Amino acid sequence: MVSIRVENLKKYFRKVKAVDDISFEVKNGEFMALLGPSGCGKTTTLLTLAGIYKPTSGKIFFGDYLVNDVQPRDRNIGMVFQSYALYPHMSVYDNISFPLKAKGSKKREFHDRVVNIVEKLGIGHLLDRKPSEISGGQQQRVALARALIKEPQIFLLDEPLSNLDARLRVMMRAEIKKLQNDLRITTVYVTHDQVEALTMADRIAVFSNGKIMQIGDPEEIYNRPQNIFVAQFIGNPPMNFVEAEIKEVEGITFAVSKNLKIRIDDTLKPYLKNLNSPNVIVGIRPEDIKIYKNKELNRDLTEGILYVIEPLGRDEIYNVKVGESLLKVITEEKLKIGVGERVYCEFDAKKVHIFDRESEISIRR
Amino acid sequence: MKKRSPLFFFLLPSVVSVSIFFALPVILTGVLSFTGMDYSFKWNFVGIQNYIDMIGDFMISTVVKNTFVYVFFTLLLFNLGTALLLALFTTTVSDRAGGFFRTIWMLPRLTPSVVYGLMWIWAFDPTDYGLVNIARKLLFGLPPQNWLQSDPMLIIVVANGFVGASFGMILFTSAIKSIPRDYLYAARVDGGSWFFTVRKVILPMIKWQILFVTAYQTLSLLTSFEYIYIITDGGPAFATEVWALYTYHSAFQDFRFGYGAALSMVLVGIGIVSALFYLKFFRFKEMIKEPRIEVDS
Ligand SMILES: Nc1ncnc2c1ncn2[C@@H]1O[C@H](COP(=O)(O)OP(=O)(O)OP(=O)(O)O)[C@@H](O)[C@H]1O
Ligand SMILES: [Mg+2]
Repeated sequence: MVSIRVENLKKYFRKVKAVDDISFEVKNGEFMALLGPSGCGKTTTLLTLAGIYKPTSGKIFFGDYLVNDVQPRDRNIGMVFQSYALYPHMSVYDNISFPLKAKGSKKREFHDRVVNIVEKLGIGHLLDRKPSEISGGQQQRVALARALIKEPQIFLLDEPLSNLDARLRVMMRAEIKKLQNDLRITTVYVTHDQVEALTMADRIAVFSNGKIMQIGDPEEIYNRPQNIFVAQFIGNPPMNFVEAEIKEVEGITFAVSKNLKIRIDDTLKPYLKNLNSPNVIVGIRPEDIKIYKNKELNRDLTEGILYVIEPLGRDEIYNVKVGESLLKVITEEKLKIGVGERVYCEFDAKKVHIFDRESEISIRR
Repeated sequence: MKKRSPLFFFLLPSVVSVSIFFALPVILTGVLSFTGMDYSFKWNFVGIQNYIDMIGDFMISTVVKNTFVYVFFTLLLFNLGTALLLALFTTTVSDRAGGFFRTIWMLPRLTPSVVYGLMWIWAFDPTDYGLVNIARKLLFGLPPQNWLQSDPMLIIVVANGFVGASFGMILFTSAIKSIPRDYLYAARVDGGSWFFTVRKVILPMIKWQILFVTAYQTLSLLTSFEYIYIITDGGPAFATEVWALYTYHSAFQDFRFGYGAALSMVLVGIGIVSALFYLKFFRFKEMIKEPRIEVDS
C-alpha cells in the first residue's frame, strides 16, 4: 500500500486542457472519488496516474517515489475500465490470469490465486466462458478480479458501475466499498454519479473543466460547498439558488430579493466580511426549507404558490413559486395542499449558503 | 410470384453483366480446356486429353515447386510478415510519422507495373551500374554479381513483396487502429511486454483481417505473373516459371489454347481448395459468431 501525491498536474491534448493544474493527495489505504460531469478530465487524470498518458507538466508521486517516467507495468496498479476491457477472445480464466501470465508466471504458480479471487467475487462457475457469454454484472466482477489478482498497491477504477442497471449498481456500490475496506488498498475511483461518490468515498475531489473545485470528505462536500459549482452538482434534488442582496434592517442582517427575505444566522455573520459587494447568491437545500399550509405567527415565513408536487414514495418534492423563482422543497410530511394554493416557506437560517455573485465562491471559504 | 417479378427485373441488369463478365469467361475456359485448340482456333474436342497431358508434362513439377516457393515466401515474408510489422510499427509511432511511412510503402502500388519492374531490373543489373552492385562495391568492395542469374527467385519474391506488403499493411493498420484503446491500455497496465501484447491481444483481435489478407493474397499471387514476366519472363532456365506464367506461355507463346485453358482450370481448383483450407484453419464460423452482450465505452 502506498499514498499518491499529485502536484500541479497538467495534461493538454494540443489546445484542449483536459487536466489543468490540479494537486491532490490520496492517503495510504484511502478511497478517493474523482467526481465531475462528462468531459471534465477524470479519465485523463486516471490514465495519467496509470502512466498511459505522460503529464504535460507536474509531478506524480507514489509514496516518496516520483513516478512520472515509470512505465505503467512497473507502477503496480490494478485498473478497471469503464468498458471493462475484457479480452473478448479469452476465457474468464485467461482474462483474470492475464496480468500474472504477462509477468511470466506459470499456471501451477498462479492457479490457487485465481481460484481464491473468483471465490471471493462469486464468479467461480464462469471460468470457462467468454466475456460475451456472461452478464454485465458478471463482466464487472471479472474486471475487478483481473485488476486485483496481482495484488496491486493502487487500485484505479473508471466509472465501473455506469454500464450496470440501477439495481445492480446499488448492489455493486456496497460490494466495491466492502472490498476496498477489506483490502485497505489505496483507491482512486472515477465517477460522474454524486451518489456513488458520497456513499463510497472517504474523500471526494470535485472536478470541473480540468480543475478541482473542492476536495473534502462527503460531509464537507455536502454541507460546506466551497463554490456554486459544487453546491449545484452535489445533492438531489439540487440546491435552490436565489439572487439577493445583503441588507441590514433594524440591526438584523437579511439577504433580500424582490420576493423573499432570508435572515442571516449569527454563525454566518463573521464571514460576510469576505464579500466584495452586497450582491450574493443564496443557496438553500430542498430539505432545509420547511413548508406550512397556514401563516403561523412568530415565524419568518415567505409566501408562495404551490406549483407542482413530485411524490417520491417516502418523500415528496413540493415545487413552490416565489415571485419569479421556483423553489424545490423536500419533506417526509404529507401536506394536504392542492396545486395553485398559497403556501408558506421557512428557511433554516443555519443551513443557508451564501456565495459571492461575482466569484461564485462561498463566503465560508 | 406476383411480388417477385419486379424484383427479377431490377436484378436482371446486374445478373446479366455478372454472368457475361465473370461467369462466362470461366465457363468458356472450362469448355476450351476440353479442346485441342491451337493457332487455327478450331474447337476440336479432345475430352480430358489436356489433363492427361498435364500429368506427363515434365515441366509441371518445376512449375509447381516454383509456384509454391513464390507464393509461400512472398505471402509469409512480405504480404503478411512485412505488412504486419509495418502496421504494428506505424501505429506505435506518432500518427504523422506513421502516415508518412505508410505513404512511402504505397508508392510502388501507384507506379505502373512496367516502370516498377524495370526499376528492379536496373537495381539488379549485372554490370557495375546496378544499384545493388554499386552498394556491394561501396560497402564491401565486392565485384558485381549477376543477380538475375544467381538468385532469380529471391528477386521475384522481393519485387512482388514490396508491392504486395502495402495491401496487408493498410488493412492491418486500420484494424489495429479500430481496436478499442482500453484493451491496449489494460494490457500495458497489466504488465505485458510489447511482444506479449501483440501476441495475446492485438493479433487475436485482427485475426479476421489476417485471414482475409492471407486468402486474398494467396489467390492473387497464384494468378499474378506480370512482375515475373517483366523481370525474368520465367527464366533463367525456368527457374521462375510459375503456374500462371506457364499457362500464359502455353496459350500465347506456344499457341496451345486448349492446354493453357486446362492449366487455368487447375489453378482455379487450387485457389478454391486453398480458400476452403483457410476458412477451416481459422475457424471462420467461430469468428463471425455474434457476441451475446455488447459493452459500449
Ligand atoms: N486522447 C485525447 N485526445 C484529445 N483530446 C482528448 C483525449 N482524451 C480526452 N480528451 C479531451 O479531454 C477532455 C477530458 O476528457 P476525459 O476523457 O478525461 O473526460 P471525463 O471526465 O473522463 O469524461 P466522461 O465522464 O465523459 O468519461 C475532453 O474534452 C476530451 O475531449
Ligand atoms: Mg471518462
